[in-house]
Amino acid sequence: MKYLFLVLALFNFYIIQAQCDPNKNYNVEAGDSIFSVVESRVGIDIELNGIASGSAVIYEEWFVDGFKYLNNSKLTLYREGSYTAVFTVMFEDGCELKDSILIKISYPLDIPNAFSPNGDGTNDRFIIRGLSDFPNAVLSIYDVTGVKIYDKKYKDENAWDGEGFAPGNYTYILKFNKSGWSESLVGTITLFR
Amino acid sequence: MKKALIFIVTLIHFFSGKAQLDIPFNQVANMLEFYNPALVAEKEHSQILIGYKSLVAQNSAVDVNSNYIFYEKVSPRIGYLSGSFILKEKNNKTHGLGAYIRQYTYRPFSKLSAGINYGLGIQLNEKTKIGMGVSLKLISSSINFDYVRFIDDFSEPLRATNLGTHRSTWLEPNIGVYLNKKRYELGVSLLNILQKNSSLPIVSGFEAAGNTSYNPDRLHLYFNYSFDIDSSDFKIITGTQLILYPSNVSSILTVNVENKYAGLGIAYRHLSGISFLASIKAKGLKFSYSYEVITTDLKSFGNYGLSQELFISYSLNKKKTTPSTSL
Repeated sequence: MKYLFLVLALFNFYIIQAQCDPNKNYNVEAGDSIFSVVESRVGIDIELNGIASGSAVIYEEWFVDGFKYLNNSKLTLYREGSYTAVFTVMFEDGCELKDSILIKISYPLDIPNAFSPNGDGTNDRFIIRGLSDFPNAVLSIYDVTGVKIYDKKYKDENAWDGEGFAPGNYTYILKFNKSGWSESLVGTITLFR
Repeated sequence: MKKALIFIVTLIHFFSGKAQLDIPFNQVANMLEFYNPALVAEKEHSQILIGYKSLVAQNSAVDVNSNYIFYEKVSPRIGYLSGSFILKEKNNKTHGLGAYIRQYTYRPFSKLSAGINYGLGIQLNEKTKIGMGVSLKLISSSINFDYVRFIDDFSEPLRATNLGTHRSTWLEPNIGVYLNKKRYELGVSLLNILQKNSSLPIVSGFEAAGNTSYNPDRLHLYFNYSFDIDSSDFKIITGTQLILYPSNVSSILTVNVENKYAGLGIAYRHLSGISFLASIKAKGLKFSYSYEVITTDLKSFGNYGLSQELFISYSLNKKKTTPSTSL
């Protein structure tokens, strides 16, 4: 289904209703260019912008996978995947035109599965990129027997450095939230030196 | 003496915590000779033992190419095979010889250990037996960097495939002693007595830059205490086992009730898990099963942390039908 929408987006297909006056130069654009693909990450606000001209506009509507959003409003998506945002404009002469864009949402974080705290300046801490958008993130670390050895609010500058712990595999639980949306991840991190 | 020992062992137990490289068996009392070579001369009969443990661990990671989250099952596993044989019994002295192979896998780590044990047991009097032993363990360890994914401060996430597979092999001599009184047994072993360290690569950026060393387990201590239940053939065996690492301690407390046909037990791994143990015995064969439930926050992630252990042992020349002090 999403490929169908993608094709529609690529060709910037306008569905011109019977009421549209062929002598008027209507223009409806979703996004900033003809081949619009918006890329963002889970939990990050997206601003949907549409342009409509050619006649007086009665209303403009955005539908993202069937859900309605106000024009020029911020959209936040909490699942990875591809979404189709349809921009619908109703002109005063009864002409309704639509344009669509593809929104690609990827995971908000880059999480390594290893780090090497040896003071060489690279990979010295368990850095998780993207967490700056989630200031309440909490990271807990467990050793291989399941004993909790670390439990702190995550900050890049004081991320876990493995001080005092042996090389090996550790399990982490990462909890982060934003605007009522929360997620917990469990994974393994390997400590090298 | 007995109360003092119980107190000391209990005290040490509650100081335990921190991390280690391997996951230990809960029913480790079944494979104590892996840690304490003296015990090959303590066994009441020669035996062959096969053991397997797997731990369920679900890993979530972000795909380096699509940046989509994905989930994968990661299962740390241990396989164990050992044989212990009483070679000679004469003048209250028992000579035992044993061999074992242990394979540990927890991606990206893999470790194969193979060793031989020699033990000498001396019956001092009717109630007291002491033993001592030595073992030589060959360990081959590898790390497969194909599974390793770093993120540094500047570049995009990268897999450390250019590091390849790092291998190291070393020998570990171990010594151990035990004291067996009527109801209790205490064993201590010094592991890796030459302090030969495991070799691990230093990872600089995305390249290996020489080797560093890592001290594996150093000291193993166990203490078992058993007593009979009046007017029955049941025996209660309590045990604690400590593995001391350079900076950590791992400990397990076990209580088992068993007779000559079957056993039930429960084990507590300090701060991390509770295991339920069951075993049946028939004609020299013993099947043991353990199911562990993790008690930390990890338990909220599906079946994360559940581990299962299976042991099968066979006594080659059975002499007694009563349960031994060893769990």
